[in-house]
Amino acid sequence: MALGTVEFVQALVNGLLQGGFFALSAAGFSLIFGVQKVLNVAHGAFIVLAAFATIQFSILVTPVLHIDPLLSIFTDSLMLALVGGSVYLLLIYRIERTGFEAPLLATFGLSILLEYLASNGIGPFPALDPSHGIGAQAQHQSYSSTAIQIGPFFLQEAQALAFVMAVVVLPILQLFLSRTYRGRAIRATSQDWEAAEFSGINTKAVRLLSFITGSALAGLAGGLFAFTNSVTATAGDEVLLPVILVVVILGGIGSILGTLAAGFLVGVIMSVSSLIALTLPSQFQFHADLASLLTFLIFIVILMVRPRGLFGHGIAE
Amino acid sequence: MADRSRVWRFAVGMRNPSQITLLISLFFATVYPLTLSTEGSRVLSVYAVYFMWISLAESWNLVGGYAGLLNLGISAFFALGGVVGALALFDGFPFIISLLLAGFAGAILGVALIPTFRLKSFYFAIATLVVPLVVKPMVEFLGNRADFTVPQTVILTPIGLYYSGLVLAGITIFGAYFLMQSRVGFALRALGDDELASSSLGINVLLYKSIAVLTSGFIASAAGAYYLQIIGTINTTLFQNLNFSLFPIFMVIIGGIGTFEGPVLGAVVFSLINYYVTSQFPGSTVDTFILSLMIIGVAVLLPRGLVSSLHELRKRRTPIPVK
Repeated sequence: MALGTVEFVQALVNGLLQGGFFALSAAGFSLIFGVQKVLNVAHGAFIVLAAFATIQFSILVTPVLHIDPLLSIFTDSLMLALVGGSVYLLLIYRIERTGFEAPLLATFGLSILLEYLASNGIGPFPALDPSHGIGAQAQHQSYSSTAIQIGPFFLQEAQALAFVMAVVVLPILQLFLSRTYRGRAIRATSQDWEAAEFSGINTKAVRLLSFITGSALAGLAGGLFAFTNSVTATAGDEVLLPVILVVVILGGIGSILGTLAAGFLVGVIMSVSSLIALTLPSQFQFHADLASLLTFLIFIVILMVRPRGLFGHGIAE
Repeated sequence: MADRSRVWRFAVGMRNPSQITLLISLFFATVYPLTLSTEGSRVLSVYAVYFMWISLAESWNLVGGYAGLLNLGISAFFALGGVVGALALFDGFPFIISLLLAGFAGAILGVALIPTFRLKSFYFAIATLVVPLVVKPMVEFLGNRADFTVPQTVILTPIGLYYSGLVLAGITIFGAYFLMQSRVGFALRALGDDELASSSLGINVLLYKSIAVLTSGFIASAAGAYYLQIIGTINTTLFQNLNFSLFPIFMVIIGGIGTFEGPVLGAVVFSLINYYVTSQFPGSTVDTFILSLMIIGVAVLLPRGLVSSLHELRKRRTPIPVK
């Protein structure tokens, strides 16, 4: 199969749309890591939790009340904000002064716990199992089956929604961080928390706020994840966390707009690499994921040229 | 003569109660299989996992505990060791050679980590978390498959598995001990405490960090080749398995970070609890649930680990001397 222009542009478009979702997923992780230096390995599990909630919503609420399941992404966001706030106050706040390892282990335990809940069901809510359609319930709504056609190109509706959401929400977050008092307090705390405390900033409140905001972003991403992908309980660790890490490192840790740009870049690289992998002559029968090989090779090359990431002077620097 | 006095000093150095306990338990671990009948020796394979975790936790401690470099990607070394071990066994090498080859592969992967040393601690941690993700597709590409299953004929018998594990764990423990008593160990602890101060005192930071990462990579990969003997197959999803990166950290935290006996204690406590919980709920996944609560509980209640928390308790009991 030869590489046509139309296929190539279509791959670019798909990559950009996919990249919006990546940026949305990674932004919360980047914010939390930038401000409190807590490596929240449960971030992927948070996203799966939100996807789980949207899927339950589309199973239980939509058939009864005829509410569009897409609206549940806002309730997801609210729910994850609550989850994130309580996780910070109950776990992280008590141990963040003891060093790097204890908060890391706490979020690791949390990710195993959430994964367990998603694969076994929470109370009356059935477990995620895409082979029985439960992991893909929200996906079966009209969004992912319809595509917007522009000329010879197709935009998958759910992915386009994630793209629009990222392009709207992340610049607003950036404005919040750079223009409002609370946002500036967050940036000050991430630069030097001791100096911020001496200047009269309540750093506990700032950390709580950043954890809540980061988790709310995970909720937003998770709700959209239920529409774009078939959700499994382990997707957080196997699919999302790797992408989040790559996007966060490329974007420059703590930089929101950098994360957005890196999300697009990673989305395009992945989509074009899988197109190239598809068009290779079939005598090269690789039993390997060539797309991820190419993605990570490009990732290493970019890091060699710019070790601080694309926008290395973000709020963490 | 000088050498002999040095060895003597090492031996006399082992007088801390926990170190003596360790020596005694190693002795019992050596004679234990002799008390079993031929039928009963099957139970020995249960203990293989203990030795594997001891080696892995000890290898993490070399870098994370002493040198203060938080390596969150040790599963890359572990899984690479498993893959290289499997390839060596395919080519007809004996088990011991497969272990060594895996170890050398791990050390080579350690060399690839050297450019990340200039990153500050948090950034080093996040960079190492990506290492398994980078190595995985490369291994799949070069090996041209994702599943490395070795034939049953090259798998050790339970008693062979037990003793080779004991030797691996023993070499790791004493290797870590002697390394820490040597110039390298002092340099590592110094730069773990304060990198700038130790480099100004003439410690070659890059050299000693490289020694730590290479040694740790060697041990972790050998442990991976040993793991292959336990389960008989390695899938490349092992690279992404966070458990193998973070359980060793959990064990080191429980037992006491930066001590050579801490990882052993942590690995044994963890494996005992894990074994007990799994045997209480056969055929169910409730053990995962309990394990996750245990990790969260330890992280929140004992963030400095079991041993140092006990020490703190004892310190609190002894009255403060009045000047």
